[in-house]
Amino acid sequence: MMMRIFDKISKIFFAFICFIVILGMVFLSIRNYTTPIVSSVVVSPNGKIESKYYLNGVISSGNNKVVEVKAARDMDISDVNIKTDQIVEGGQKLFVLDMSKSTSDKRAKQDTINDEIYNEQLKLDKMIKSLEKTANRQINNIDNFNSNEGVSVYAISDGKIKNLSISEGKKVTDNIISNIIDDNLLKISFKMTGNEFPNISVGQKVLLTFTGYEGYYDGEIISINPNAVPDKDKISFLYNGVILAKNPGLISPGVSVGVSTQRDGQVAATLTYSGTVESYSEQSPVTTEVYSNSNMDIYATKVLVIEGETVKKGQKIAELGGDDLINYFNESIKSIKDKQKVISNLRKDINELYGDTLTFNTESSFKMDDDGACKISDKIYVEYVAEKASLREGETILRYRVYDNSSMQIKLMIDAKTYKSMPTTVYYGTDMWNMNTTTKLIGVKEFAKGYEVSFEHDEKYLAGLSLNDNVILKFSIEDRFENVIPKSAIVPIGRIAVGSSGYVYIISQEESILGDVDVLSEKRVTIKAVGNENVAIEFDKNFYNRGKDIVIVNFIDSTLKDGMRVRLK
Amino acid sequence: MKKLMTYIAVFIIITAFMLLFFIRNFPAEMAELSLDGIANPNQIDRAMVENSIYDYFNVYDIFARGENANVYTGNINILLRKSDIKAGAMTYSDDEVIMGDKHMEENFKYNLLGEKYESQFGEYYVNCVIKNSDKVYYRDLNILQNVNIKSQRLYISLVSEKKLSMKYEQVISTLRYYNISISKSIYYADAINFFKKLLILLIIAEFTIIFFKFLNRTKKSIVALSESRKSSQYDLTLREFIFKSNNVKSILKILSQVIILTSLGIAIMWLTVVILKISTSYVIDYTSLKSIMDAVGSFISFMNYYLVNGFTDISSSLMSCIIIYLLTVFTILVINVKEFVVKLKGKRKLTI
Repeated sequence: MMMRIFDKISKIFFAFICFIVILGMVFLSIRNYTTPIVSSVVVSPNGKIESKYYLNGVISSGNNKVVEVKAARDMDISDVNIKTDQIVEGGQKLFVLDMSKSTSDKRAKQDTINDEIYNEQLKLDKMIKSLEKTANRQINNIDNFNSNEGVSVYAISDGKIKNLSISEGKKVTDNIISNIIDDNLLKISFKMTGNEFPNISVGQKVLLTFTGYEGYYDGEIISINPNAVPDKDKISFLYNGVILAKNPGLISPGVSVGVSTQRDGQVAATLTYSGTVESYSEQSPVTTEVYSNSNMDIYATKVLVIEGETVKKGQKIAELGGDDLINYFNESIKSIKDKQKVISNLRKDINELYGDTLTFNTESSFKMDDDGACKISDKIYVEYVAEKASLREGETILRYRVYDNSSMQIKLMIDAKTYKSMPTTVYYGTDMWNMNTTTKLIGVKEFAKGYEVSFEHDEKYLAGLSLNDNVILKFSIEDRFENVIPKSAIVPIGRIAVGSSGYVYIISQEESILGDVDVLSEKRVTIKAVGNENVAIEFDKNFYNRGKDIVIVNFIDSTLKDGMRVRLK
Repeated sequence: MKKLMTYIAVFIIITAFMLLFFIRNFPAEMAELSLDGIANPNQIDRAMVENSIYDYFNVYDIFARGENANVYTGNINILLRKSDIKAGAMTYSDDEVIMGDKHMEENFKYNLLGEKYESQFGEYYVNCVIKNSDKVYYRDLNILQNVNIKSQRLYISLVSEKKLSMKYEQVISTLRYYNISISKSIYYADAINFFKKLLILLIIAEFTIIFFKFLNRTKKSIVALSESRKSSQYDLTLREFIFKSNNVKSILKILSQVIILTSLGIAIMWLTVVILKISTSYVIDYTSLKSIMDAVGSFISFMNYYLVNGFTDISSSLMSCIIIYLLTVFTILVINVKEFVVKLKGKRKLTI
């Protein structure tokens, strides 16, 4: 009986154990099946962070002279032929200002004023020319004209001073101050009888004899008067002519000259009447307009030559002056300045009609025609052009710099941190796959937002690039940090950036009735450095791992939980 | 009754496996949102920050020059976590692509992991290869400027920065505030809770059948014992009757049946409470025919959307589950019809 009961209890117990085991296995299978499978990675205690920097630069002009064209009044733009960042060839029409708002009345008034300006300008020119003539000097700027300088008189040709009519400190009494003569050539008048006249012609060579001089001297007939004049006897008629001959020595006007025709250098026939030296061939009077222009008392303040002195053309002969002259000059200057003021006022009147159209911050070759079409002779790079049709006074219409191909640079704006990390030589290229060429830092400008850095651009390496084209600059920095993990092992809050925080999940072992299981421990960490592939993290100060390797989950997302059991891949 | 219990048990097993599959593969915190229209990455980023959502995956399905591709922002690990991957050093930069092995095998004769990949969009590095996938995932948002974006999906983890769970309905309504309209959405917890509810419902049904079965048996046992007592009440005292060997067995049997009935009753009540406690974002009023019809309509529209726009992981899994249920029902019907025909034939033979 007892054996039967024991047997039955044993069977029930065995069945119960089997049931428990099967149930346990089912639950274990379910738990294993539903336990998340995760990848793991070890936190590097002293890992390398490599940061690659790719910066976008722009080919820019090294020419820093920026010309800014602003509207000087409210205006409309009827046509814009250029765009911002465009490179425009010289002479091309840039934009057209709408000038149609000028009313016909204004135009008529403008025409009247322009006529007045023209007339006044003629008068002014005349006044200036008159003053120039009187003062015997060129006037470029009336403000620089010194009345006290008086009038300087200059030799108008090479020659000798003859008949000098002035002397220092004396009043000028004639407008001809002196004659300048050339005594190398003589003009000789001669007479021909009616019989001789047919044998004499202009250009004919003759032989001359001078009183006191032996031999014959050459001469040439330069003119003959074909009209005969009665002789002293009133019966016969004579013909007059002029001979030009070299001065054999010191022959002066009034000397009698024998005239003979010649054949083969020998005397053919001697004329009946002898000739007379009338004058030297070249004789230039030195005059002053001062005397002829007014009734002023003019004095010779300086006489720099003496009678008979040889002078060269342009040589100063004398200086004239006197109170009357100074007063005359002062009055003339005043009149000229008054006239200039009148013209200036008239021009202002035109400006007041329309106001100034454009203003410039610096000199430029910018030009606008009457129709409002604006052009520039230089090849330029347009930094900015207004795109709207109406502009207010003071608004910028155009900002440009003259295009200079030889001064191309690569420019870019970077923040202070990048600037501090950046080496002076970096790689650059048109795309990030072809960056084998290096370039050097050539300039830095500091701004509130960061730094504008300039790198040299060598056209032979990157041919075909022109202004405003984009280039990429590359450099990398390596550094070592504590607790370096792959980027895929952190779920950042926000972006992966230095200073931001995120979550990592540490894998640790936990004992259970079925042996050790992997359990997650959630840690909020701070990102200390960001590299290309890795980040350096800082754990909470309370976290202590007793020098063991820290194993964390890789490829994580926020569905993992603190305390969650996981299985490792 | 036995058959019904068997059929319900089959459904319980199938549902239990489905539940386990969903728990394993679809974390309850995640939600898949198919957007109505396209929202730009900044818009998404702003909406996420405002909602304190720090972990999301935003993916654009694009089509360009005869090629399908994907461009993404956010945490790619949401995709990679459950994928079988072969990864190199991930840079999370614009020049990185993640490529499906099928795409790689179709287009290249060698392993492209860590190598340069020249696509129609530019040159990239393949830093990760996903197994059993024919897709290419780009991180370069510039691609979006010149391509046709077919659709956009957003996977969000409804866990705040401080690791607190967030209300799904609240997040969805907030996204609308940022002009991000949702066409169809699946909250993974809803799918899991659906299978939980279904499983519990089936267990309650099974328990109820068992309960009534035991109730009948208990009734019969009590009636049999009371009749036996009536017939012997003048011959045996109550004590003698109870300790009669056969009656002891009967009484013990009745007692065990009562215990089982009580346990079943408590289990049914507890499961009812549990089923009421499980909440889903889509609430159906079972007392309203309209609500039930609306739910059916929504479900048809839901499946229709994925049939037109392509299935995602969870939608294809849900579709597979439905097909399995339908096949099971169809098999049960075939078995029953066959048995019915055999019975009918047997009756005809007897009549002849």
